[in-house]
Amino acid sequence: MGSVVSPLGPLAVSDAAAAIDRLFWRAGFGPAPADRPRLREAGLEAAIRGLLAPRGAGALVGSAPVVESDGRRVPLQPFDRWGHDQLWWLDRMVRTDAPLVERMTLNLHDHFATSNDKVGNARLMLAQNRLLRRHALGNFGRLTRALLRDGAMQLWLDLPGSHRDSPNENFARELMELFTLGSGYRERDVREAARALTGFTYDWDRKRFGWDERRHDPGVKRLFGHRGRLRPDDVVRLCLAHPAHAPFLCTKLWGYFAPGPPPRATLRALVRTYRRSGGELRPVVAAILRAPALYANLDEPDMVKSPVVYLVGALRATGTPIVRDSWVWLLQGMGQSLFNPPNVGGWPVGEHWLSTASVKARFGAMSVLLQQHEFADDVVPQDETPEAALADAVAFTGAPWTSTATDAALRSYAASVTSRYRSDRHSTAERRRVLRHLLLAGPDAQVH
Amino acid sequence: MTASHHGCDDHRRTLLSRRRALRHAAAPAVPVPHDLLEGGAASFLAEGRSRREFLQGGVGAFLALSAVGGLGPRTLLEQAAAAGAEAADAPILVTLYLDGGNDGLNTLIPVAGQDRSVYDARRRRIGIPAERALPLPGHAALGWHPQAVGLRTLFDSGQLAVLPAIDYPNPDFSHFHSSHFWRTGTLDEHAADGWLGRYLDVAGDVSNPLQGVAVQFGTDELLLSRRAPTCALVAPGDFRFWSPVVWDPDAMMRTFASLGGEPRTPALGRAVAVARQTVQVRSALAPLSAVKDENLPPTPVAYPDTDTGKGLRNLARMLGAGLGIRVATVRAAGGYDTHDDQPAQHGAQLADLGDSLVAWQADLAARGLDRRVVTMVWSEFGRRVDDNDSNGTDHGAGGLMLLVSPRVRAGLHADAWDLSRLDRTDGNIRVAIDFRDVYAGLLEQHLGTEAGRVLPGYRGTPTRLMAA
Repeated sequence: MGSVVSPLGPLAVSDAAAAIDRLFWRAGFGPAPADRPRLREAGLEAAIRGLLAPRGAGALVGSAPVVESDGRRVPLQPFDRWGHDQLWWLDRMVRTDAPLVERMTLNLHDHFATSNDKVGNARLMLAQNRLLRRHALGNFGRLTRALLRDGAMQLWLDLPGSHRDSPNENFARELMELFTLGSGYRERDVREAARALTGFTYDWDRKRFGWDERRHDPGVKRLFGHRGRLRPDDVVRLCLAHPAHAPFLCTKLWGYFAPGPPPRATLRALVRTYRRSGGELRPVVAAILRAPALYANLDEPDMVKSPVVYLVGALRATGTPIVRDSWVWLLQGMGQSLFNPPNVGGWPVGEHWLSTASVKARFGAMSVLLQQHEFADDVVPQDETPEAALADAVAFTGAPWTSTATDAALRSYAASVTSRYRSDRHSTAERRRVLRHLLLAGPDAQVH
Repeated sequence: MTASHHGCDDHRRTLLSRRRALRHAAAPAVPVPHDLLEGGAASFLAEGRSRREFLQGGVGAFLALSAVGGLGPRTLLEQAAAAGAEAADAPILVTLYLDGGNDGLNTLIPVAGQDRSVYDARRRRIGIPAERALPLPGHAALGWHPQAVGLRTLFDSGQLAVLPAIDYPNPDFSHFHSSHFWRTGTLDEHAADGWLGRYLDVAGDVSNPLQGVAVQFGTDELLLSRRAPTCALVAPGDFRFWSPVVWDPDAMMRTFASLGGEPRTPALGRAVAVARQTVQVRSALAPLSAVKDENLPPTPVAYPDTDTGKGLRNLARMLGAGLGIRVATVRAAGGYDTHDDQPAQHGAQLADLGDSLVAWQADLAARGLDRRVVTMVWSEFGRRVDDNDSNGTDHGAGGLMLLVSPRVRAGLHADAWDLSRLDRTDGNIRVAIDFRDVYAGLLEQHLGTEAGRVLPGYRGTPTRLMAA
């Protein structure tokens, strides 16, 4: 691979080690502690290229999970057991060697948010998931056209129920408002597109998708000023050709990686890259990963982690395999159930992930994680120093970023325990547990 | 697999515009004085002190401590005034959201006259026979959905104000846009604060996250504010913290509340502020969470065992505990976005809604709170007059709002539904009441706050909502 020139110009960062950590959080699920020395040696640009390199879905490292489910230890059965679809994907995120592919799959799941709550079929949901993963760094137009015929998407947005006599506007509206344009169309365009999108069918008994020309409206439609006997693929084609599409999509993609809207010049460059490549995601994501704004505030993270990123990050950092199904309801408590976004607009973003309820749920999730790493009290020397206790917690949690205020508060807590319980055997063990928990669940751990 | 589902699903969406707007909201809240957290409202009251003593102690402690935290004297005075407003008769507003766009026309049904003819012609598949509707005293042409028994009870006992055909001019049929407008109290796509959050910014308090409670897992856009902290929780009983084999969770939580220092970025600022508020709420709710649900005394009328019933029941307990709740938001169970198979869902949901509200009013009355609380039942729009061929209804204009309280001007606040004058282009109900006028009425006549301070650019005429 030759040297890649960023459309945004040269990238210089103040702290390469912190930049690499930042990169792996935004483009994956946090840096793998063991990889840090190698990554730092090779530098930021090499790390970016490594993330962008995979052409396929990536490989999984380590052994497949066996989980405790209804009191028995079973291999994952993503199609058939409650919650195992979610565990299956979580495990992929935890064990993948292509974190950007998984992260982009998650981003696209948010963008094309489809919920099994309505689809009611894990096979269809996982088929859509494979589709998203296949195109995670591929061509956005090809992906959108494939989603038009994706079973989960069709059921989700009522395409099969839509008849020429009463077209259902659901897919047409979301295609424009949320998937491709955001603005720049009228209510009339939605209605006309809905007419062009009639004709799909679904046989509920045989569970088979199809097309019935008699249900399709063959008439002339008018969409964004184009007239013609438009058919479903024409609607997608015209949306992707609409001038509002590229800026809309690039802004949306940007939002998955950096806080706030993209700087104007950055957006122009992203739009140019997207259009010149014929709608490819990889070069746009590559440009975003090389954007200076991604590496702002390296001394204080400026984005809130989504629950999935938070959880997978903690599992990866602590080397915790998926062995129980509690993550399913724990993620629900944090506000992000995979395959169950709250609506077609996807999940909330940014600071609004955090409420008193969700912070409490994140704390509780770390309680469950720590249960998997329980140790006997007498493992910890009674005379362990506060510094050693803190060092243990930092190593256990993968040396996460912490603010100086947090460092001080943890040191002060660590010191107070020694002075209070010098002779009590469980106290030094308790101190380790508390320090680990606070590093995993405290405010510093919520941002990246 | 079943063919029934929850409809069109663009509701509760979070759109880019909103995402953009939200990023600028939510400045980190003022850090909470530490000692006040630990001796929170509930524990203070549990020791048998009077509310007045608490307010004096609490405000005094706050003044002493927050001076260290760098709050200016003006803020402190406002703070003291705000805490004083938490008097025994301070008004409380509760909103109950019917998610997805409730079909007002099948909730309050035309049963006679011209409207009935139009209804019969346009609701061929899911129309409710006139003889099955429950009567409304004084309104021979209207009837309640046969399963809306509770709504009838409240109406007949003079505790229900009915506001039909409520919406805003040129309504938008996107769940996201419409519910965003209703939640922010504006018609501004980029508005960042909820109207209840803005109310708390104006009239609330800078230190008590329990003043605004979203009875749900996450933040409610209705409560988004600039300064006033609020909280989200499903039940007081599930607000406990534990860590495996840790014997002193209080010491752990004290440290938890001291992490993060004084952040610079909004992201960490939010994380730090919410962590502290979480510890504060934990302390305040400790007495409530100590009692298990199964050990609670029965309520005068049993709540349905649904999310609506449970949400209202939990809220009533918290209101009864004097935690300083000023506004609270609750979601009704189920989805009202009935694009298909409507009859299978809608009636049961209206039954749950009515029964839950009857239990709620009885509970509030038993706690001596019923005259302080107004409950606003809302949805982001109504539905098309024409039903569709999936036995459902699509998004339409002119929904139905209900206000519940012994203090409201009970009865019908506009002619329902005037189906002879449907909108000519799309066959929708014409809007009779602007929801912002109702908000203004609630603000001025119930909450005692000038509407213009809470609803940006408001120029309308507040609806007369409260009985003299």
